[in-house]
Amino acid sequence: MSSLIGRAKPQGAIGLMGHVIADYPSPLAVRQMIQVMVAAGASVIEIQIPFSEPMADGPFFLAANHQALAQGVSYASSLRLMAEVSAAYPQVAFVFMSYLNVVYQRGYATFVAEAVAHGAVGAIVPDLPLEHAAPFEAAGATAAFANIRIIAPNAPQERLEELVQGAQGLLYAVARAGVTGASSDLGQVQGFVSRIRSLTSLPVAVGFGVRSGADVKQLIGHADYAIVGTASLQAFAVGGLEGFQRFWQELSAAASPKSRKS
Amino acid sequence: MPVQGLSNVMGVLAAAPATPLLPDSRGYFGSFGGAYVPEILRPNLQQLDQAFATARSDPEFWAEYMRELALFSGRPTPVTPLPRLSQHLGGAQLFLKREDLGQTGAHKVNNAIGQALIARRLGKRRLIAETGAGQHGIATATIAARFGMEAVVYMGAEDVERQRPNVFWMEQMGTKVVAVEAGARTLKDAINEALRDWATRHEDTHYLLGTACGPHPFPALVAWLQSVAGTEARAQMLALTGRLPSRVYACVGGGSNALGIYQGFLGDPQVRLIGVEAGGRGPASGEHAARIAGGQGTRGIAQGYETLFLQTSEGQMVDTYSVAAGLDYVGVSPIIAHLHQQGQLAIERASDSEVVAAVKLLMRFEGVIPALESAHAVAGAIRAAAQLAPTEQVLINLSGRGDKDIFTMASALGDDSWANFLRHKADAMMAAKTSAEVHHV
Ligand SMILES: Cc1ncc(COP(=O)(O)O)c(C=O)c1O
Repeated sequence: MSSLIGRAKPQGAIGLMGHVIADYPSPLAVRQMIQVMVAAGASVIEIQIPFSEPMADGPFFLAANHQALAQGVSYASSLRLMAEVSAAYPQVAFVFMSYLNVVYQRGYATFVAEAVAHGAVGAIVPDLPLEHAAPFEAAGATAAFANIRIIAPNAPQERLEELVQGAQGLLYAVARAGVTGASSDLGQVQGFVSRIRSLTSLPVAVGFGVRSGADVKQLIGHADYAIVGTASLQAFAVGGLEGFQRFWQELSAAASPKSRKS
Repeated sequence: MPVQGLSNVMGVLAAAPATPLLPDSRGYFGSFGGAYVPEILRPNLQQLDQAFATARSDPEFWAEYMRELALFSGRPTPVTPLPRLSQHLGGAQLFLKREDLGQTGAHKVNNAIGQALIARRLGKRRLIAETGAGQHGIATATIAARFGMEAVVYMGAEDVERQRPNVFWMEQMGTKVVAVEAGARTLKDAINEALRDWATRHEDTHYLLGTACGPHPFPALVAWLQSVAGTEARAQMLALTGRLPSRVYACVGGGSNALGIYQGFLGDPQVRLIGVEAGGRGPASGEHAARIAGGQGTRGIAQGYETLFLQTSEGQMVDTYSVAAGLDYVGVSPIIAHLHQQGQLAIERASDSEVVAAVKLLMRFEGVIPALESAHAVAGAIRAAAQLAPTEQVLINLSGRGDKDIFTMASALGDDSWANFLRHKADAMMAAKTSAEVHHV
């Protein structure tokens, strides 16, 4: 997978990483959103398989998870979406994001095999800490399927080293304490990100609180990817597909300022 | 001069700490437990685990805990024999461990006091908690007021509606009650919300989890703090009767009161330990919270730990139900799941109607009003008692008193005069409010 998720963009630019919830708000809308993201230059996209207890998510994603489940979004429909978009956009790295129980019920080996068969290159599982990750990572190892580890800003140096050791694909640096949705002071994360980068050659993505083009700009030169989740889905909720398009154009312009001008 | 014989019936003045039930280095009890939380929560749990270890090795901590339990919560609570009910049932001799007599009327306060002491040692000024029935919320509110700490209690919006009296008292004590609108709007959703708060704000905040569930170290910590009931009860049974009970019954929601009483008897293989889950409207109805009894719960990982959950085959938690809000929970303590798997305890269930019948019997024959949660244990013991010889002794953990259930019981019993009373009260309150508004104008 590492071949799909590359390291730093050319000088003065940053990669974009998007997030959707499978078939939410509708199967059509999510496919349109992914198309817009890809057109705007997103090179990594997370597809969240909804879960009833999304403990790392703030109120907006929490409600969206529950609504998706109420609308009948399932593991199978999430796989179908993955297969379709990964085939349509081979230049993009698609990963699943979900909570451990969804993966655990399927069985680690089965989940990895099915995810890979449907075109996913990794998974983000926020309630799977390193201490319990060995069986899942072992299942992924044979298929080059990455368990994308999350690093929190309160991690002491030893923890950073543990998390980076043996990491695969990409490192997900959380910009602040708390859950998804609220804004962050991204000026503060630069030191944190450079501490991670000094330990690894893997790309580092920063998420939680990246809400605008200005936020993306702040991360240029520090992180390899800016992860935009809640703000993106909110842009759709508020402005429909057009609002979503405008939002991603703003992110795109901020992420690659030079290529825009030329 | 001390009154002759009193020490013989009270058994102990202050319980010694139980040998803690501790998990392996990964937080597992056998194949249940662990600490499955987002990375951001790791330091919180590590700090608490450290503080728990320090408390265990510091005799002054337990002494302070016992002092606070004695002075604030009236411990030790007695064991009360139930001669008239026993005779009526015509079998075993029944006894109650009276956790209903503690501060705020339930065992929840033991854990709340213990954890608040730990929080104070850690320099935390803010307590957050989840609550279902409101009993743990009330317990947290009282100790927060007593220690001069800020408190925020997360409560499912559904439970806020069902348990208005507890919400009222919590707010009067200065606690902020947050109605959680997400999901099923019950206990599991309140736990998620409390974890989110703790992920956002750790420096000054302790998450005072109310039962022996959640990520390590909570199950072990809560079980240890609740062991006081079991340690006392064992000494009290011996002091009162010279013998141990042959059976011990407790209701099982998250599992904290059950683990509390069981710990007095885990070293006594001749004592059968029995847990009673919420059978609700019956196993086929889907409206229950029996995770172990009946085998509907399946292994899963959620709310920070691995245990048996009521869930779909895709791992989504399902809505649970019980007449007793405090038993209405999808998961169960990893320690309970483990002890059950090891054959160290049996798990049964009692239906809503058996529970209401048990409440009536206990009130009529013994003058004790049990909480609907605790009445599950009473129902289990009543079911067994007639089959047992009169020489057998059965101990029931009465985890709480039933005052809070007056609305639920009155409607379960179809009491018209209570409905009339409520109507009149509401009318009078509205009238008083209207006339006050008129005066203001
Ligand atoms: C009186 C009483 N008993 C029992 C319980 C269930 O909790 P646990 O199983 O942790 O004792 C509750 C929970 O609210 C309660 O209020």
